Amino acid sequence: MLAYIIRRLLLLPILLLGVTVFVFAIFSLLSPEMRASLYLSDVPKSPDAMERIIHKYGLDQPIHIQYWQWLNQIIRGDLGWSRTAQRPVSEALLYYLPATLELSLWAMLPVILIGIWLGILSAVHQNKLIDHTLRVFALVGWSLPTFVFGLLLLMYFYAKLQWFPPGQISDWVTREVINGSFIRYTQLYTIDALLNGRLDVFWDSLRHLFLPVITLSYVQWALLLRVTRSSMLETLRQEYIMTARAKGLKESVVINKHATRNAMIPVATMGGLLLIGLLNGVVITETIFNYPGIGRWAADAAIRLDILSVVGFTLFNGVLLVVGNLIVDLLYAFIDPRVRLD
Amino acid sequence: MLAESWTISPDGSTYTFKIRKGVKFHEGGDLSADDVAYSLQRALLQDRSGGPIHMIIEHVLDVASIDELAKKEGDLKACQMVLDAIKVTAPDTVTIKLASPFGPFIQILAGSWMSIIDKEWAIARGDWDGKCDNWRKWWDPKAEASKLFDVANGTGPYKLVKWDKGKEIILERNDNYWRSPAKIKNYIRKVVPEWGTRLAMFEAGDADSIDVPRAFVSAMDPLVKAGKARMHGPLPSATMQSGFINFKVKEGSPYMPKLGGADKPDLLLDLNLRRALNYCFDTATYIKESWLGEAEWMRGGVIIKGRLGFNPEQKGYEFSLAKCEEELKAAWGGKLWSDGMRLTLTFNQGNVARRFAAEMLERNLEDMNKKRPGRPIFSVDVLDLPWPSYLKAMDAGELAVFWVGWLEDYAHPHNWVQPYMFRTGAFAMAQNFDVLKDVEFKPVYATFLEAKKYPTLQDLFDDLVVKAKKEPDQKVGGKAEKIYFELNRLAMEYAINIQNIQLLFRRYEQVWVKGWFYNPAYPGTYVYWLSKG
Repeated sequence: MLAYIIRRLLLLPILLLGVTVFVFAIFSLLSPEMRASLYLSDVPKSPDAMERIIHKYGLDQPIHIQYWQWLNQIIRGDLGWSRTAQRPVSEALLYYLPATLELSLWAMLPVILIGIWLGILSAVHQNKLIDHTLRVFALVGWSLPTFVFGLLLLMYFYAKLQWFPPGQISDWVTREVINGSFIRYTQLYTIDALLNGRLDVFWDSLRHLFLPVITLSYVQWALLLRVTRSSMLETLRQEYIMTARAKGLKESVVINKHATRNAMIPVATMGGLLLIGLLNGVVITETIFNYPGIGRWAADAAIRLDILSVVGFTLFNGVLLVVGNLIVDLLYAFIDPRVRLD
Repeated sequence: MLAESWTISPDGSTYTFKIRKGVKFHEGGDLSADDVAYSLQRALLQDRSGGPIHMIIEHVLDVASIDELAKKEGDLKACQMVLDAIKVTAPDTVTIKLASPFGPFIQILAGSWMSIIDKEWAIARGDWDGKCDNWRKWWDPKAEASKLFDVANGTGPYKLVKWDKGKEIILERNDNYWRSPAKIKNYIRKVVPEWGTRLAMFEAGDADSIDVPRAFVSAMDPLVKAGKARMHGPLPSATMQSGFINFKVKEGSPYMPKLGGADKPDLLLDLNLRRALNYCFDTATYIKESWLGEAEWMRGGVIIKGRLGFNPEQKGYEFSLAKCEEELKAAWGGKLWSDGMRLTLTFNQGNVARRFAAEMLERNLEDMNKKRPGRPIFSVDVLDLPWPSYLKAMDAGELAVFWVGWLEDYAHPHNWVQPYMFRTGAFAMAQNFDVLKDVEFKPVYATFLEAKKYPTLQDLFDDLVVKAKKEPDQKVGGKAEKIYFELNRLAMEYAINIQNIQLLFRRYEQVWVKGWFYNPAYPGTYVYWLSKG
């Protein structure tokens, strides 16, 4: 098992190198003038502006030299400057990550617990009212675009009822952070609020998180519900389940002890993809709810053709994907003892 | 504002400022003449590429950039020239000497790019030390390399509390402001890219004012009608949208025009064709459909309404397909009508208004094919390019016809005729007016100018732009105005653009916001005068 993990981790830099080459190659198709234009938001107002920018950012150097210099910087932890965040890319990633992490964690927990529970419920009550209702619920969730659902929630629960505001936190908390009366230990407001013993801040943070979490969760609920349901139905048809029932075991024991564990194998695969799904989902969700996380930053950067930020975000996603897959593989071995990774 | 008074020498080239006493910087330092001179010198010596300082350098040192001067005179001398041009001449006095007089210089000086900073504070943070032997170290820095990139220590009514980059700016009232303190204590400016969210914040009362894209004004109208929001406008803005015509497209351009099937880089050198493009352009429909009726037709002129030199009497090209046909028949001595042409109309990707403009012109020109059956067709392509490709192609002179907008930097007609008509102007550079030779000039308005022949159209434009700029009589009805009338007239008669329009704008705010007033020279919100209640 250990050898397998090491092997997978050793593959990580090679994979990331591939990602850097690919992403850099795409942007290198642009001429120096076009890349210099990315630094100009308006028509150049002085005759030499374009040449000076090309020279200043070294865009006139051969592309392999530019790549090599950039790669050297990356190895030293310098991912370049994010024009969108107005700070170094590595700093921007660290700066925006806690907000996204907080959102994802709050979304992940209900997604996994409720999604699996609903899936099992649906399978156990196959073709009954509860099953039909849950399947319609899943179908709507799966087909409703995130931005439409998010905006609907925002218009009703914020603009009309004013219950759940957008953003990450209220201005009065920001002021407390600035003047030092609220300390941010972990950068996660909900946890920091508890550490500061401030239930008012905790509540304020939850109010801001509620709508993005629901928006982000709904699609994933729907997905997880359907996968769990199919897997559970498949398992429930197995002979060993019949045997268990024939032995006179209680239905709850059959479901919880014998069926659920086996049904969880494909669900675990989903779990890894879920994290990636959530991260992709945050791009839209964070934009709608003006939530200052990695997703909103990446969306802004893409619109402004902020190359270095986009590359930084892609690398970050690459790492996440690889690590996520690794965890899923390890989970297989845990759930299904027949799987031996080494 | 930090000058108690100022004088301008009779020849218009020396500005003397008496610096206000008793003014404090946000971090406690006292404002002095030394701070003022240092701030201006530092700005000129930093001269960021693509930045606004060339507008000052141009008039103080008569060069386009500090680098150009240093290459000519050497680093040390160039810096010394800056220090000689801007210096402290008495304990509370700063003098600026211009290379040549320029009426609106005082306005350029009042721009945000010339903000005054505390010299000691800047040096302590590692910025330029005020000496000439090492200024290059701080020259043209990348934004992030500037020592004062994300800090501020000014003298204004608000202090910077936090700049959460890309997210929000938080300002707090400066209670030591030299005028009475502002009425609003905290000012927060949030970046909310998603329009729906922005609207929701306004409706919930969490935003006092929001930026409303023109496409979404209909969402705000019910709020205004219900008395839940206030709308100012539509008011004329200092912004113009124009179609630009390149007299000679660069050889090898992928957007090369054709005449009778053969490449014709100077297809648009023909005046009849340029006029045809204007006659075939339905400006009224363009304004109605693309700008919801909120724009004004500029009658072929390049100076916006509200600036010296705008001529309401000028006759432009009124939309007329009959006249368009007439001009097309006359273009290139009839060859264009008989042999056909190919022309590419370009705009930047995603710009809906410019797409509408290009497609409308394409349709009207191609409709002319019905009137000339059996002949090689007029083939007009509409092409949208991603912004980087568009800017690069424009800069290289590769585009034949393109649409762009201009937002003025300072409230003076020079900031319009310079980009639109002067040799080094942002747009004129991409239009090649110098390919039109032997141009006769007969003044209509500026009768004090002599009639003469110029080697090229560009020479004529340059001469008049410089004459207007140097003319000391800048009053309404004065000599400068007459020269600007001439420039407007020439722009129209030579049809250098396709139907310029000046855009109008709206401002939306909550009904409890008070004190906002319109200042077209300052498009932002001047928070100092605002209050709530």
